[in-house]
Amino acid sequence: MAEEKKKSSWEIPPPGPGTISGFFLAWVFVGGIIGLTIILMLIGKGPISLRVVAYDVSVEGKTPAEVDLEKLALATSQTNAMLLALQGTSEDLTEELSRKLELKYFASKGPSAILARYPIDKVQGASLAVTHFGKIGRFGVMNVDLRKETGDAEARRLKQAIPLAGKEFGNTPHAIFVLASGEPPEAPAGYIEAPADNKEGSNWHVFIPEAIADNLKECYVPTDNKTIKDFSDRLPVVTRFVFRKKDFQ
Amino acid sequence: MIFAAADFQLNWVDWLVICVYLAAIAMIGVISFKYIKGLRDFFLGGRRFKKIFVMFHAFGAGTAGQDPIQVAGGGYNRGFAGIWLQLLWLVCTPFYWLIAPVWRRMRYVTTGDFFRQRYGKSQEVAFAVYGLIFYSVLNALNLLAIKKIVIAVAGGPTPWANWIVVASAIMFLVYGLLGGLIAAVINDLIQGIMIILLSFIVIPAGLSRIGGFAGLHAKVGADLFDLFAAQEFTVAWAIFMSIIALIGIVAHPHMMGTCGSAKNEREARWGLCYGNFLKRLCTVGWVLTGVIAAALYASRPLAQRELAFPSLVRDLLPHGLVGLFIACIIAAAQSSLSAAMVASSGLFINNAYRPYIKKGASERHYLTASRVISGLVVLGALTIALKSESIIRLFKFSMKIPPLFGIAWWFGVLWRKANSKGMWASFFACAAAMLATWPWKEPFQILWKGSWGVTQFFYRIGFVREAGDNLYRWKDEWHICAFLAAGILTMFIVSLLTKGKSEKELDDFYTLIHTPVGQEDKLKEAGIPVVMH
Repeated sequence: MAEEKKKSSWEIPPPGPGTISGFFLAWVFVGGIIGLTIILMLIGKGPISLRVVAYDVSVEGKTPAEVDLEKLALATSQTNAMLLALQGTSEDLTEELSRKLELKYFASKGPSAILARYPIDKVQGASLAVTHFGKIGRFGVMNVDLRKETGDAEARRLKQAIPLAGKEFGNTPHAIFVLASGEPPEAPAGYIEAPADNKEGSNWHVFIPEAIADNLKECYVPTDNKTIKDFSDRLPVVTRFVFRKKDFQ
Repeated sequence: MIFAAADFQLNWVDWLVICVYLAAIAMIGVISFKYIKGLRDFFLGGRRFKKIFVMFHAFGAGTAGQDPIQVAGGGYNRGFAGIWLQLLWLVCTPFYWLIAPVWRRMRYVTTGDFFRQRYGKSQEVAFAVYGLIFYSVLNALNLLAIKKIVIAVAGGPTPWANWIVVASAIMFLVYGLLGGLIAAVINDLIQGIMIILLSFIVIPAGLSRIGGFAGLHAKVGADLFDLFAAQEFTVAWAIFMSIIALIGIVAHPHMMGTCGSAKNEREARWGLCYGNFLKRLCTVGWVLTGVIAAALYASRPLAQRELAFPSLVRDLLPHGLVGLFIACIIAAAQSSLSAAMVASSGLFINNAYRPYIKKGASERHYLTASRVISGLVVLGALTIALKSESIIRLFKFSMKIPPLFGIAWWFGVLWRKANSKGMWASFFACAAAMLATWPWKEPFQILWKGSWGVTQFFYRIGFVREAGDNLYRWKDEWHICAFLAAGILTMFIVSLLTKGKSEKELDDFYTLIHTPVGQEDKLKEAGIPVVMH
């Protein structure tokens, strides 16, 4: 008696001519398209350049619902923003914004806070933040608010911040963003003020080490509120910096 | 026109190009109308297309107006990683080589026919209803792309945007109603060539403005040159989206039309596979365009990332080409929308209206009814488009619906034990898991950060908090995992435990997909019904 062959419950349609070779050829095309993308990514790649964008945002008296998160998120991600300095915030609001904006590293003190995409190694109040970039080594950024200070106190605090950063991180800040009212603060020793585009009318000053001044590619400081208004009606961005660094670790 | 000069940065050359181009496309619809003799012509173009037409039909039907806009937006926002918004289909593409002959061998008019033959009538009707919803969402994406272009060309939000979207929808409807699939396929051939051209046309001008590739690297952050982003388009996201793309693509109703319109299975697989590779190639151009926009608009960010491509076109191309770009995007949206309209109305008429609502009417009646259904799909799309703002968000949503039926398609083709009860169980389990995990963003946050003592306690513990944050960051990936696992496991277990169709019915079905096109005599001899060959 012929044994009846048990029927498999799996049904693979039989391959027609060229099925297997065509399938593999298609994978070659997949590799080709990924390869082309990678080539385009690599063409013209020179020394590493880095752009740091710092936003200083006042959220005083606001709830997360009142802050235009979508636009803020777009601004922080599109511009590769490393720092978001919040003024007039609370602990809950900072946490909420950190989560919603996916700027998971934050540090706060009182009504001030700094949110960052990369780990904040150390925070002195909310006025000093140093961010760490794994790919290119350490890159120090300081964000200092001197608006309420005048004269000697202002200069002293700025000067103190630099050795503090050096002591804590073995690295001097590569960019110091200073928000100051009135007269521009004096540049710390070894630093020069970056020549910002449209600097006139802005309360922000950017100081960079003299030794790497040539590496600054762009420094953009909005000078009027119209730019900000155009950007968003509800997003109170008061300033924006772009700083680029090349081939220094 | 009042807004021509004042609101829009177009001059008369652009307007002339737009009018001439769209008039030419409309003519194709009118001419095609003469060739529509019945449903076979309307839905499957008479099954007469060779590989070049199938290729461009696959390219055109798969390349909608929103694609360049959303990929360039992703590139502008996240760099080269934005390419995954469309490259998630890349892994699927070689599989088209394998499944195109299966579609063609089924010899069905619609995918609904497949669900009836393989599972039952209730699945057939459910798929027909799903088709209407799915295409309303897909067409809304096309209309939303037009809205973005209008906003970019107008230099900001304008009340005209919605009116132009409404006008486009009406134009598309008339066009699709006249020409059916014949018009869509011819239109796709023209749109395909134009989209390829426009995918790369803005790149030289953009690169020359920013100082070539070296300038591009100098102007944007290094992380914009990574293949995967740290957030949104992560490695995990690309993998999971590629999986749902592969599972879901078989439930895109137009795929049956694309493959079914081919003369034979060889033409179907070449056309489908390489038509889509053509699109993948264009995707590289779109993402590069987005990165160029990131460099060019670095100091004055755009209000929305999806404005990147049209803003570049507006700022870099000479008049005439700007008009051509707008016309091409509108026409690309039109061709996709026409193909979608044909597919969805064909589906509903053949798989719900004719067999269960109005039996035995004339061909002419069904043709008219299919045109009414097309109108309803466009109306649905219009409603969604007017209420939506983000193309990328709507696109992500549209990607998650097809697996509801895609799981059953794969099981149905590959596994004899898959049955009707398993299909319904899978559908409901998948839908339930999808709904339960979809909005988990907010409940998760409340649970995680809420005032409950236990969660607050754990939230304070460093590594637990880190794990929770990662879970939250990967919400899309977990969400996909949850509903796919629910659907696949339920399908398998319930089908294994319950009885399905008779062996004779199953043999008929599998003989059909095992018999190459051109050997229909064998099917007739075996008494296997062929819906349409």
